[in-house]
Amino acid sequence: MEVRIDAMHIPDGILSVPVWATLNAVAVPGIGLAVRRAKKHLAEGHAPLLGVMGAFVFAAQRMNFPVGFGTSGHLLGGALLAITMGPGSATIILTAILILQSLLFQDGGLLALGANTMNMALIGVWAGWLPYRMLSKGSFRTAGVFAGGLLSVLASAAAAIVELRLSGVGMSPAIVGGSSGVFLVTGIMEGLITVTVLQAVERLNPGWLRVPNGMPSRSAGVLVTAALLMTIIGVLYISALPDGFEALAARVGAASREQIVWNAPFPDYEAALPAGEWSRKSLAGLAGMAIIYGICVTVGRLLIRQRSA
Amino acid sequence: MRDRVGKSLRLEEWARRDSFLHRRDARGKILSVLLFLIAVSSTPSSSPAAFVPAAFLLIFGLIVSGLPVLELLSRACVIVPFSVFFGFVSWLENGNALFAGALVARSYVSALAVVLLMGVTPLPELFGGLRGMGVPAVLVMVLQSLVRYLRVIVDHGARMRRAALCRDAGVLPRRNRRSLWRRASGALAVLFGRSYARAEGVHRAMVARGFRGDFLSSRPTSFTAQDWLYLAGTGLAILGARYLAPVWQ
Repeated sequence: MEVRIDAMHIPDGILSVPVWATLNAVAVPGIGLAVRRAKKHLAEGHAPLLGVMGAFVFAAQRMNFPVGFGTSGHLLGGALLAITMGPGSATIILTAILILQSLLFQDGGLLALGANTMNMALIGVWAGWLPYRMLSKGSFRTAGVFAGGLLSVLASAAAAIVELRLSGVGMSPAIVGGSSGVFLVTGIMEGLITVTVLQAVERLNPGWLRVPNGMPSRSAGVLVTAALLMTIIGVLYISALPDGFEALAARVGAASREQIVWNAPFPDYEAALPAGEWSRKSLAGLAGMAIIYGICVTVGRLLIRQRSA
Repeated sequence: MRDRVGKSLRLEEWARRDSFLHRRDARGKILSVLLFLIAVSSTPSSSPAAFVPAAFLLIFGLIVSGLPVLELLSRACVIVPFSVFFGFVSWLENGNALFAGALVARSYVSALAVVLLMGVTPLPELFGGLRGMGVPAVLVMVLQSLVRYLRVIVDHGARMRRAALCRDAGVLPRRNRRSLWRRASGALAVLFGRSYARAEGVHRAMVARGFRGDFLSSRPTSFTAQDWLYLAGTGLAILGARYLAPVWQ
């Protein structure tokens, strides 16, 4: 028996229009930044290298690791790619894998590509890279690699669960709790597999591991890793009890004192149009996507200008 | 994985056939599929029957493409276990079986649209279309190399697994998990190293053959009047199917 977490590949038709539209709008500039970052660190014309390493991830997912009780698991690869290829390149490789999976194997949808890219290629890769980046000093490095593998899976899963909840897929606290348990086991396995594979890779050629420059202190690393873990646990807890804030507000009496300070342009994800509900929701989603895209592009350009000045 | 790669190659074989849909520009086909997916995604989910007009539209497309309809219909079923899971979870929470059915129907129709797109568009043309639509060149090139070396690297991994099993010959006890784990991680590290070395070799060979950072397209893309007509026709048909959905359910 094989433990797989393909359920993290969200298919089309599951996410609501505002959720997939917003995530596509956020993922596009995110990938653009990753491409920019990868270009900086990669020699000119080395894109085929990323493609072959993507094929390696496909092949690596066929290698089974015995877990016990007749079950086995396999590598997912986000943290491993981030540590060996750098986070920018890893994001591009995983994005390419996700595009191919949705087109050729129907693993994940086309409209849900933004969500899947966000969960696995952006959040997953960076959650896998940060602990390694922060803890790569001396004896803490193995702990950093393990935390990277664990957090890459947990962060991706937490994001997917939140997106499903926001889309109205009813998930009771028991189901969220059960899925979190499965993802925790998968994350621990991913951490262990990443550690053992990287140790073997280092024995073959130490140059294949990316050593971050200007490493922070151990305590800062531990703090950042713990903060990441706490955030993921908090997100999972809130998604299990989505109305927790409202319940808390009602209990402390804040709900009765609430006042409107700003009218959102698209309240309840609906544009103020006389057309049918689907048109209102679609237009609100697409308009939201355009606004977020515009903000991301403007902020990105401002940042680039500031850097080059 | 090898089976899945084999199935994807079958899709690529179908994409090399000739029909009205096969001859259309990849950009037009991608745009029409995106429009279809948006229309399906925004259809109210009160009943699976709402997706019948969209399904009819796709079946018409399958017939026009001249592809084996039943094979393509069964291929799109890959998505069913996942959507049934989400539908089941929703049904447990809301107790609304029709909503759960609509979720499954919506996912299936969406997957079928992507299968049809892949069945009538060869990968090089699809990548050319993506490039023409503004997808970064680096990402398209990574996709092209990934497709080109997918089978090679997956087969290499399978050969290594077979070789390890032959060397082991049942001597290594199944219960000795530590040894099995060490063997698997060692094999993965070797595969990583060989993939890396192969990638560098591939790159050097490509540079020697004149590669300057961009793959050449086998067929130049041009958006003809027929492509515009196709795009307008499918757009109208999709909108019609979308507006028929509430009536149908």
